[in-house]
Amino acid sequence: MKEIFNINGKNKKIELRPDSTLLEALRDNGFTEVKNGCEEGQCGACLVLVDDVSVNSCQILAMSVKDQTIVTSKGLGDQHKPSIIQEAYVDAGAVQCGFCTPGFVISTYSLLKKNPNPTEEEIKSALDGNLCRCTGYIKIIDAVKLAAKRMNGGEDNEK
Amino acid sequence: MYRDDIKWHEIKTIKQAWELLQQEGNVIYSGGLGINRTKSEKIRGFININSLSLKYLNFEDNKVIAGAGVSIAELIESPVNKGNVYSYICNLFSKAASTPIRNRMTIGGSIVDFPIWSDIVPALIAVNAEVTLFNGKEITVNIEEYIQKYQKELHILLNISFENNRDNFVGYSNRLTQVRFDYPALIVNITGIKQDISLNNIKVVVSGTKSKVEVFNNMENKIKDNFKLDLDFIKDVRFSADYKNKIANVYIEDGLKIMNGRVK
Ligand code: FES
Ligand code: FES
Repeated sequence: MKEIFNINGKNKKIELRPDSTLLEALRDNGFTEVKNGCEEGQCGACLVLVDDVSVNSCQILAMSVKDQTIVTSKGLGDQHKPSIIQEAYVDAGAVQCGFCTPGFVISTYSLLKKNPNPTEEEIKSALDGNLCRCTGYIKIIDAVKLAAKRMNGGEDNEK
Repeated sequence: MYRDDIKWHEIKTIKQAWELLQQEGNVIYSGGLGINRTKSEKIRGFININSLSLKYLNFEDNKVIAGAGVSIAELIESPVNKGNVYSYICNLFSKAASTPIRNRMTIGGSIVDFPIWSDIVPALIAVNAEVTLFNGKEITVNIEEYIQKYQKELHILLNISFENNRDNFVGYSNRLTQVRFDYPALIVNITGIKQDISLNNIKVVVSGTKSKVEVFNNMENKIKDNFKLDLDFIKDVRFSADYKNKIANVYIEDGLKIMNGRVK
């Protein structure tokens, strides 16, 4: 079947099954920046924003969010026009294989929207739904701090 | 696996949802996390209740009333001034799953589904929450009665409610896991009223047992030196039943000491 979804600010007709998860529907229709890590709700690689709230797209049936807005990490910015968060991940060296990064970017966006000045504890807690097998997390926490600093007009914004 | 011809029913009223629910194979879909674990072939249709107005948080006469569609995150993050019981609930709910899962997990689904590792139901039992449901008519029952009777029958959960603040309320909670983001093998929640040096109305709620949850009321009359509960746990790959029983009793002893103010 074909249905119209609002993805990254545009209405798009996508092909899906009635039981497609949001993850399947997105990936099958070209939004491959949303990663399939576990399909169990454990790794956070599949995170997207539904009505501006971060959720595990592997745990939701797509049809249940048909009338809501969906934003993937590419909807926040891409390599031509990266968001402050995406740039901070690169600059902090928080990306190795990069598989987990789209999910971490979404969690970071959610955190900084609610709490522009998070403590390290608050950052760790906000990233509790994301796993990374490469970095050891230190650089990821640095990236969140850097993004927060730049968003708040800190000196690193001058880059 | 779900069947290929599964249907989505978009509804406007509780009555419509109730009529559909009585047809074989139809299930309620809200957050969808519980249903997603089963992917049952028996499901013929999803009744999408997200269009019903069940996403409300009301505060009336010292009561917190949360519509079934409210997410666990919304309940925790509500900016109102929280009383001691509401704060206790928020602290316990914030241990459930992860941030993005709590964003999607609804209060209604968490109660209807009630898996053995639930952080939500034992917390609500500990504070004597009430559940309002529709099963042809609207009724409100204590959550323990709901679990014993109504949870197993066809119904639509409408809201939960609990006290915001209780004079001299004290509460304790501990959960057995291997790592922070893990399903709890058991949870011990204790609530009571602390007046001067005495602790009364002690309620102990232990989850993870063979019956999912065990509740002990007015424990002040039963707790004496060397007091031990004999709890019947299931064993899992992480912990034996005997180990869980020992740990649960350690948590209860610690909890009572802390609530009595003997440990800071
Ligand atoms: S793929 Fe969704 S949480 Fe891992
Ligand atoms: S950078 Fe490889 S999994 Fe995180």
